[in-house]
Amino acid sequence: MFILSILPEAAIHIIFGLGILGTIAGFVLGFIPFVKTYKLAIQVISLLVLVLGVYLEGGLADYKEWELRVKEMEAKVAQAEAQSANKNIEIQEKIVEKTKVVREKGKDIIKYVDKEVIKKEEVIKYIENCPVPKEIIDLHNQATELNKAATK
Amino acid sequence: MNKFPLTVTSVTDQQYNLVEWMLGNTCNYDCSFCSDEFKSGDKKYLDINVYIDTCKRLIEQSGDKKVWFKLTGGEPTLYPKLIELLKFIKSTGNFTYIITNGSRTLRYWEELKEANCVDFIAVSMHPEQNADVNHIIDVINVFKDIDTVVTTNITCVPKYFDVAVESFYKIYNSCPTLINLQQINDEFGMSKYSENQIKLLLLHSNKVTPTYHNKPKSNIPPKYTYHSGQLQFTYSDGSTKKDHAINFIKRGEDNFNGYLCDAGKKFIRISHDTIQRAICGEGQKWSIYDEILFATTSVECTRNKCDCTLDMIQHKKHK
Repeated sequence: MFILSILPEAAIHIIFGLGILGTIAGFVLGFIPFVKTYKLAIQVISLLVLVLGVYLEGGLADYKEWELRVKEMEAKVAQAEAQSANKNIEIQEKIVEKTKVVREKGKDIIKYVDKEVIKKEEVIKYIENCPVPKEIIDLHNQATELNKAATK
Repeated sequence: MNKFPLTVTSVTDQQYNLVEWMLGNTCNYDCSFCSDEFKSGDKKYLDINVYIDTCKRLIEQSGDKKVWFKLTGGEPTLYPKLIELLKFIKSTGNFTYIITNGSRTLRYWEELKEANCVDFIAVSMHPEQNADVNHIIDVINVFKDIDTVVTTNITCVPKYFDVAVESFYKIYNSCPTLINLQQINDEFGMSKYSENQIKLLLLHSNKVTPTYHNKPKSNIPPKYTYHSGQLQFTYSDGSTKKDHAINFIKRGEDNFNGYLCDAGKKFIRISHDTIQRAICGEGQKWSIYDEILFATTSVECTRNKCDCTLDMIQHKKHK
């Protein structure tokens, strides 16, 4: 919702609060002389403000829920990537038993594959449409190199 | 006078021909984003001898070049003779690629693996059709120790977005594949997704799953996967520019209306038994029953946009 990006959160709560207060005043406090004079106008305006307030509060709640989900998903990605890194570390530990040189090579390949994956995000459409996606086969081959490094 | 492109050429020479073939349009799914052309069932699968004979002629007419056969549907695995057809193509030393929803039984996929006749499988998982993620994981794992490249695209219809993301993580943690949350674009691009969903789509694109290190390297020689999408534009003032096709498209440098294009000479798309040039389908269509299957002449482009990278890499010349 566009308006949520320009309106501060406090303003939304104030609009909602004013709507409630105005509605109460318009419908309950009719005995006060000032309210009595402008009763109809107060009732109509307050109801409109209240409707707007409810709408904005709903939008805000939805927006916050999505923000939360994005954070959860980002956490999941971080967790998944950490798991991936752990797997790679396991492989590397095997390599250490044999030779440090091979371990370093394994690390380089992991970094290279990670870098390639990030680069590929830009060319999603190309990969979708490409019947012989060089990028995917290259990525496949780079990923399998991890295995070679582990078994050397 | 403004300079304009005189020629557009792929930087790497394409060492193979491409045949994208919709074998028939029978499908067991009814995806909301898929048009009737690909699922109505009115194009029945042909006799195996028709497919084999056409493949033979496509291979013959490709001369020294290898042929990539990308077989689609409908759901191609519903064609009872698919494995036989794939085995035939592989026996000729050419390459096979299928797009599938992965819904056939594990026994079927085991049989396909034993036949050793497919180089590339693109599994589309459709949460909208209640596809079972555990079954998809089992299918991918059938190929975990052989060199077949398996990619997984999870189609993200907004209504089933959460299921798609959950499936992504289940697959990510369970089997070796290159995995992607697949956006479903409409005529307005990605307009039906919220900003956050677009963020998630980008975050979950083409990931290598952690168990990938168990898969062997692909045996496809690099020269047959060689088109990199890199193009060279040669302009009327003699200058040249090299870049990826997708970048030319993004900048809107993809209007070749009036140019002579080689689409169809190296890349054809067959819809059941009708052949067209490349993805765009410019010019006349012809049939698999005709004598000549690849286009022998260039076609004059009548479009104002060449928005597919595969079409972009076909050689183009100013008239």
